[in-house]
Amino acid sequence: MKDNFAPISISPYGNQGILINWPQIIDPKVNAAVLAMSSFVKQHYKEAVLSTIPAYCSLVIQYDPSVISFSELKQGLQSWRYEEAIKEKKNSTIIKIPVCFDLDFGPDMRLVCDHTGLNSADVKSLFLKETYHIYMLGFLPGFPYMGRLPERLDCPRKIVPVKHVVAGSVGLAGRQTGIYPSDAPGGWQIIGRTPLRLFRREKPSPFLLQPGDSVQFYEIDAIEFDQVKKEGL
Amino acid sequence: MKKGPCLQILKPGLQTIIVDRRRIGYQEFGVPFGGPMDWKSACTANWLVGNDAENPLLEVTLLGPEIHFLKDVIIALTGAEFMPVLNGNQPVPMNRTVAIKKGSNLAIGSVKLGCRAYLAIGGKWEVSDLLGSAGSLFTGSNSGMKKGDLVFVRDRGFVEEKIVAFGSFPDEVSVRVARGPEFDRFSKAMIDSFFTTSFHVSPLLNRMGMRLEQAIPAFKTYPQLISSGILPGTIQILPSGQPVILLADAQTTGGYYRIAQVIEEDLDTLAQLIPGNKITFIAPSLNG
Repeated sequence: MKDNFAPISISPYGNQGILINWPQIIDPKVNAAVLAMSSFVKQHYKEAVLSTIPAYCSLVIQYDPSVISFSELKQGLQSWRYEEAIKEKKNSTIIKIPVCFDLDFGPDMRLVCDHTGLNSADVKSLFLKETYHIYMLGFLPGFPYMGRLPERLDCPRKIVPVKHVVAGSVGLAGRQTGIYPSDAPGGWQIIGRTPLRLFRREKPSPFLLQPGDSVQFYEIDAIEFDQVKKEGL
Repeated sequence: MKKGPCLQILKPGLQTIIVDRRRIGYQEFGVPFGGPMDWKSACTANWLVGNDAENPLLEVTLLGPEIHFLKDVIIALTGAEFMPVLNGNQPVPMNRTVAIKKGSNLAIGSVKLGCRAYLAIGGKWEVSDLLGSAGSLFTGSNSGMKKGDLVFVRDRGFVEEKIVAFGSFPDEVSVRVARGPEFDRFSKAMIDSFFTTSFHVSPLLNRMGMRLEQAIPAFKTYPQLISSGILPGTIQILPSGQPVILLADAQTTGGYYRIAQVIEEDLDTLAQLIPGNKITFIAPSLNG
């Protein structure tokens, strides 16, 4: 059986970076390998590694060249074995996210219905049924790239992004879903909003959603939305 | 040690922000590296007022703020050349330690040469620490200082007076690069064009990135790149063939091909470019 979990290349990314590529596919198992290596690197090269940027099927490492050379670090990475690392992996957390689909909160629901040929009840039920894997955070601090959406909900991004998407907005783009952690311009199709804060500065672990976690959405009404919002969860 | 604010913003200028160290280690959460755009000028400003290199200070862009000082302070201004004026008529020299009296108004004005200047104030800045840095976390266009904003700095007393040389701000610069992760996917014609074109900085320029006007030959159909991590200084090629140089507040992941990587030392040069300036890329070592 072909091993999809071993990196296919380890190359320099400028003078202080390394890029590790896995087979270029969007797959939770490949992504799990990326995240496992990211943990490994942070643990075993504490002095040398400044930052890691795990993505769907690649890992960028920023390192201090005065502490370690590219070849040393590459050698260390080549000795990494997914099978070993995966044993140490903690079970991923499933986070339940309340979402309100009121029209005010989901300005693009009509668009999504038009594109998919579904009515909003079907869009909601298809959306809520899935458990979504968080592949990576990017675009904004705490913005989760999650997948996969059921094929019937596949919608293109907006050609012209809107200037202002409200924080908490839940959006669709292609086979992915995401949540805006702050007000921002955006091109995803917004179908609802969560009252939860994705970034909580007062907590020791301030990001609610992390790569490798899973998300399930559940529906709430506008009253519960306001209650949760007030509590500042 | 006196309490209370040290300064108030009377006019914010174009984009005046507090910067200190980069937020290293948080990129896996989608947090940009951040930090001062011209690291060397920021460090020098801090040195001139007796602060540690990565002490918080103000970064000022193109049109500077007008500031009212509520205490006696020791300041220094470095980076792009402005002609700051105190109390309407007194020129304030850049690139040296300067004492400012309580009650003074400092107008930084419009930039003469370069793009960004740094205003350091000697003492301990009372700023909120957000993931190891004082800068804004969500760096949207509204994250600059506003009229009425206060800054709190506790002075620490005597500062030795120092002076440094002025920088130079040429209209045309050479920027050194190493090959980027997707360098090999570009044709010889594209690579040759990349290293021989004199690229003009376009007006699409901010702390996230700098788009260049000219294009290298473009891919007929842009190949897919599944979103991958980005380091500051990365040069992407857009579907149009135009290069974009990603800077301090750039998104941490992206899907355009990364042709080259600006070396760390030349990022400061980029921080001082304005639209219309020209860039040529050079590769000291094509071995990466």
